[in-house]
Amino acid sequence: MDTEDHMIRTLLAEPPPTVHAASAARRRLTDEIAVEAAAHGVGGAARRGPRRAAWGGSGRHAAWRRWSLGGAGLTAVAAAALVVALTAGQAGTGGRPAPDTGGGPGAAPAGPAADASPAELLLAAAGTAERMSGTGKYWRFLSVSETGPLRVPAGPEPYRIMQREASETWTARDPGGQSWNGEQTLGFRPRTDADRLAWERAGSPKKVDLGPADSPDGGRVTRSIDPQPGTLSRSESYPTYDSEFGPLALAELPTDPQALRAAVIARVTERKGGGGEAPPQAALNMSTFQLLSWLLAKAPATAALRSAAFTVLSGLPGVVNAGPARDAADRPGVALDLREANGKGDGKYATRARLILDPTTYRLLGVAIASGPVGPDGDVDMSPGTVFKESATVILRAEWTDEEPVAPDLR
Amino acid sequence: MGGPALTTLGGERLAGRAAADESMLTASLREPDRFAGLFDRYHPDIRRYAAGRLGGGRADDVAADVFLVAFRSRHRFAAAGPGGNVRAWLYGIATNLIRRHHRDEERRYRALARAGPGDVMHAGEDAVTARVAAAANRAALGRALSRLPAGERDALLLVAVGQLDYVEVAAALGIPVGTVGSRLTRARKTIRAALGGTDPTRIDEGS
Repeated sequence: MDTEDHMIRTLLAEPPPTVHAASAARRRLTDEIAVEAAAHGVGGAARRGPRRAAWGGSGRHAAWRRWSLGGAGLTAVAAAALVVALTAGQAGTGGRPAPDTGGGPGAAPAGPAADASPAELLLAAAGTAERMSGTGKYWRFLSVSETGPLRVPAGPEPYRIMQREASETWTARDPGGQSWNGEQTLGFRPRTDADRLAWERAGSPKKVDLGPADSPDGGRVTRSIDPQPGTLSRSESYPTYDSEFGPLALAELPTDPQALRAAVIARVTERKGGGGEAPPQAALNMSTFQLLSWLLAKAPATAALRSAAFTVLSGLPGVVNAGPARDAADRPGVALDLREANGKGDGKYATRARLILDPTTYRLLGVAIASGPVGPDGDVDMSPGTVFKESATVILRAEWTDEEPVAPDLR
Repeated sequence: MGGPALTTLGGERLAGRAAADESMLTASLREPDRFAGLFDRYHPDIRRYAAGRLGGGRADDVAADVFLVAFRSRHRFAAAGPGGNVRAWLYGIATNLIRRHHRDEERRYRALARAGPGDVMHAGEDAVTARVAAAANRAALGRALSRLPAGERDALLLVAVGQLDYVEVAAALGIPVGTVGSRLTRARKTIRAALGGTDPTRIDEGS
């Protein structure tokens, strides 16, 4: 029977958790300990309330919120200094999640809670980004993007699939060094658990049939579910980000928040406005939110640029804290949303742009945008049968490394 | 979590360790931060157990929750009297939390049954024999695990993945030791039947 146990143990073995996941788990416990220690007046003062308290506003951060909302022009360095002061027990080293080896309540973090205002959380994110320095030959940045959904008309039980692609950049620290660019087509995945079950009941096909091709030659449109092998190719040291608003040379974007905001507004106005005329304020805000959040999620921007981008976002009106949410990689975070009625039908259609932060480290987990009909809850209706568009990107790696570049190899 | 558990612990696990766990927990009643020591000692094991049953992503959340639940209910553990087994208690909490995700768990086993050879991560400590046999029998094992009754699956995986002994399993699940034995017997019978009644070690003897 030992042999069977061994086989089961081997079959079920998984890689250990990431340092990030393990330290986040420990921090959740030490937060809880700090709360109790404070309540009982033992073991040192807790610096903050329970993270898992109700998601409504607590008033605890009220003064700081008022102050920071007025601080849209705050420089990234000033914002970072504040956040560093607030997160003394938590400041990471080398741009990686802090291993958090310190035990006890003294080690509990003290940044804004997950229910804090978007501005507070975004300023904390600016601070985190500012500290993303470290040693290593390359800045390695891996993101996975999903778009869709595509509807598979599989008989009585149609299901929806999302297209997935990975993009990885290895930007040389040395400006004269060789940088690399990795790409991998990850095929498709069923959009939700319900879609997955429907796909399984359809026999878990590796190739799905989307229906007849709209072509005089006939034929059918099919898509392959399985990932393809990744590729690795040489790239320029100063990457250009192909944004929805045209290509942006990262090295040319200002790292001062005021100047960055001006540059973004100029670009958005040029691309979206008619003849250089500024678009309406709501549209301008949405475009700024999209351009910067997607830049943060998809481009290997420097720490200074990332920090400036978060600082600009923190001053953007209309952004709301939408509470706990999972990113496209199913990681828990807090969602900061900006919505805009898109004018197609008397407020019946809307666009929702979303940015998901890790509420303990304030690192950006991912971004998402959805547009479609407005559902009963006022959000974009993404239930089965409705027609909507969705696109999401998650950041899986953002770190300095001495590793040699390899082609992405995700499943 | 009765007193006798401690003295009948299996060979390699020292009673001294269980006593040290217990004193750490007792100390945490007055000095809450001492509880972090139990996290450092057992989080890797608990997470490994949860990952075995739910995969890595869900396991991160579940393993973190185990220590929050344990911290909040530590007074109740202590109130049950001396001689309690902290490790078994943590595995018991983990098992309860894992049950809430049984659909994910069963989906994982079905996916393992479908996966082609070489898709599964292997633990370094495992013998080559077991690895080869496991690869050969993956589909049968995955299917059998997905169909085991919950109680039998809990007992089997606490032993196979958590490496608890019978007494600890009894403490973790809050059932008599005799019941552990009968659940394990039934579960192993199912597994063996799924493997075609062969001795799995035979598979690679010819290679």
